[in-house]
Amino acid sequence: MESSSSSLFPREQVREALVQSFVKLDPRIMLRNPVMFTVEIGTVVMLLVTLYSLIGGDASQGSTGYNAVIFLLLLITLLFANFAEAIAEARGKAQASSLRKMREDTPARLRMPDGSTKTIRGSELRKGDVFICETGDTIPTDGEIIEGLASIDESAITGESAPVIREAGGDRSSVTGGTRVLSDRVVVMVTGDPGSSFLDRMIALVEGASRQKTPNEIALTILLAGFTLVFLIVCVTLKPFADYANTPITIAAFISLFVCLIPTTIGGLLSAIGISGMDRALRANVITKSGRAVETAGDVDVLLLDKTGTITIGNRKATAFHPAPGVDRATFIRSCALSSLSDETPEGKSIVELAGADITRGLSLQGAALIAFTAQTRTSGVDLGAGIRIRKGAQDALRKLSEQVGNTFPQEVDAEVKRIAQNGGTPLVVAENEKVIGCIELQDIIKPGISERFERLRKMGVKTVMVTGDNPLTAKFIAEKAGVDDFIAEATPEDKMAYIKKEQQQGRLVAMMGDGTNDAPALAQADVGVAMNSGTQAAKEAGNMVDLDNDPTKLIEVVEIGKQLLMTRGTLTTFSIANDVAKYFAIVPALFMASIPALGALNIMRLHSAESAILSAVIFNAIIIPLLIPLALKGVTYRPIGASAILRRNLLIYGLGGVIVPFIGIKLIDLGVALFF
Amino acid sequence: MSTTSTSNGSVNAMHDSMTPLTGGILMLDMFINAFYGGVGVGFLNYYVFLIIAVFIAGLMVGRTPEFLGRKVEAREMKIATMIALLHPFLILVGTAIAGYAVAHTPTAAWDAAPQSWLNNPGAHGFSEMLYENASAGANNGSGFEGLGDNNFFWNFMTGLILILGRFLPIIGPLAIAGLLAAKKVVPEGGGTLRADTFTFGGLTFALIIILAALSFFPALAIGPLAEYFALVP
Repeated sequence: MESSSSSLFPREQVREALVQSFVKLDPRIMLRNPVMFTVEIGTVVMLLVTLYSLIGGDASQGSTGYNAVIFLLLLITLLFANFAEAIAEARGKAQASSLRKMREDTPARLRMPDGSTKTIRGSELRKGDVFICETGDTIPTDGEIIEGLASIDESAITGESAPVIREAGGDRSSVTGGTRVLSDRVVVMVTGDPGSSFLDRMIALVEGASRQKTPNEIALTILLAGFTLVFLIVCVTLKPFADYANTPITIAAFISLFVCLIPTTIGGLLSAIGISGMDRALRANVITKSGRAVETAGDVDVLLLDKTGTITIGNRKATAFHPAPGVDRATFIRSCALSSLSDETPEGKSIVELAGADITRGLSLQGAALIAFTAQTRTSGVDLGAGIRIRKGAQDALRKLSEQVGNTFPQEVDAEVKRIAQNGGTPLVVAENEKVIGCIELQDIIKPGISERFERLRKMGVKTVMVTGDNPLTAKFIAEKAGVDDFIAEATPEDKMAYIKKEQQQGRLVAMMGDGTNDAPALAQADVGVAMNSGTQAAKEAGNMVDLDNDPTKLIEVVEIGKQLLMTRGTLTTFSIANDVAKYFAIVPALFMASIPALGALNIMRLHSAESAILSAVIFNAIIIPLLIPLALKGVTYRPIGASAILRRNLLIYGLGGVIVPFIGIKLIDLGVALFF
Repeated sequence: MSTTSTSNGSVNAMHDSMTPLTGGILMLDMFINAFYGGVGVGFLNYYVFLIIAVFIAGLMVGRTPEFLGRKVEAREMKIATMIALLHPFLILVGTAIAGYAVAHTPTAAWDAAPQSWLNNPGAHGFSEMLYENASAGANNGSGFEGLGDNNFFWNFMTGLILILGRFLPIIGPLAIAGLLAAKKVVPEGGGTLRADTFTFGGLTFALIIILAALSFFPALAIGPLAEYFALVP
């Protein structure tokens, strides 16, 4: 995760960014950023003034050298701002390409037109190519089976352990990259070109071609453009004022005053901040489909978290068998083991483990048919050849199953189920031929440290909701123990959807994480939907982020990244505006000192001369941009200490600091500049 | 609080005869033009700055800014920025036109030639013109006096500034209020920034000073400040 965090500025990225800094001087690109665009106009004007004083020999606008220096300083200001954006882009791109490379290394056996095969990298497959996969192979990319039939382990994609059969023709012919062939051999035709994947989209987003300003960025740009206009008015009206006061002011002074007053610091760093937000998400192995999603994440009010894997350690373990009255214990355990033998889920394995080798050794699944878990039946099991059907699942599912055929649900089992649930366990009811024969007790283990994370979220003002398929009793127990604010028990995809809609109607923003196709509608409905990379294609399409680590706690990090992004923008805006106080006091006295000596009293920094004062302010204005690039890229540290405390802290650092720092900085630069006058 | 901050029109002394800094403060009050409690548009302008402050503060705590539970977004910012912009625009442009006329066309054949406007040339004369415009834009159209302002140029220009400076800042905030009212209320949570704290007040204050007052710093420097520092040895 922290792969390339060693240096903020690796050499090759800096080189690329330097080149880009000049490319981005193109006015058509500059126009996207009104603040810096006005600086560019000022730079061009200064270039003309320099040439004029050089060729015309007219010194009324100051010496050629002085004008040339101002021109260069403005150009450098522009380049610094461009560099900030370019380095952010380069970092994002480097990160994305390294991820892409990693995923493309799956080998593929390409079938040539003459029938021979050749092993190539998965990334080299193109739409229409045909490749072959045999037992044990990982399918390199999405495709459609054109020949053969295979059982495929899709657990990496769907999270469901039972192998599925995929065959040529019909509905079940598509295979997904990253899944594994368990048996047999299939011939697959590639259905999509590389370049349409999420990673490719993300890279395009970072590169700027398809990068769009987020709503918040737009609002801030409007505000900054407004500030720029205010200062434009200030500078333009200064000309008649000066005429009235018989004070000649050079064009260089006008443009310097203007460039120093407009918020170039935030203007120059704005896009870098946005890009680095996406980049930070990528560093956390989260691919975002838009910058907007990251920003929204910072605003999230409600977080829907799956219990399994997020709040509890993924695997529940079977801890006890509880046969129903009248059912022989050994027979019950045997049935449980039989139904779980081919069950690859951790729960299933733990049942077999608990049953013990003595029982499982003699069991055989000869002629048996596996019944996979589906979201509709919510049961799984096995049909033995001898007409015996064993099913296991949640209590309500099994109750329905048994009562449908007229069997009653044994009261003793019901009581046992309640007891298990109250103690935070998960009861798994087992039925043979639709008759309940007992239940298995599974125990959840809550992740260490998770309740502290929820506490942190609570301080951020985010409500946490645990989503679980467990019954309400178990859910309540775990919810209380883990410290979540609310829970949805026996959750169906519809329940999740309803919960999200309810919260949204009250004006809250909801984030959720999901993986299955079932989750797709809810992922699409949620304001921030993070799909796990292992999830189905539908889920990934529906969400606006994809988590490559499949780590459900990632949502918490995403929220923090979003908050950081907004905070970095806010603090740098404040800093930029606060800087104006010192700049006014540097430049305004300098403008009038010559003709109204009395105004020298305003020169509270005691700057050396009018020229050195203006130069110092422009130099400060330029170098503050690269000095703040690391902050823009890394983001302001977020601490969950409550909104008012954060505001106080940031105002003190960036507001008050923004007033004081330029006074000191300009004075120091002036001491250096004065040596040349 | 002086007459220009409350906009109530009462005058204690002839402004023209005040010391330069006192006159400057009178003008500063109008430049700020956001004194809550003043007659007229004091609150309206305060409200516009409040919207801008809420936006910046919201960003600083890592949350899309909201005011009274409503999200402040691009459209509100556009209006707030325009209104905040209008104020220095009217006053500075008005003064600039007058200053230009005096400097470049002092003998223009108008009903009163620009050079005849000023009884006190120099910094004091500048203050008189600045005040005239500021009062038209942000106050009651009163005069610093000492300025020959009963002629077509001044009557027309201050009249225009008066109309724009009076009604646009009423329309803008009403439009923002309308937009906000139509939005869904975001319920308050732990992450919501409270706007009734000392810190937030400080931010709003600083913003008003930097945006409203400092925009006039060069103008103040040429007028009252220049006059003041010339008096003080």
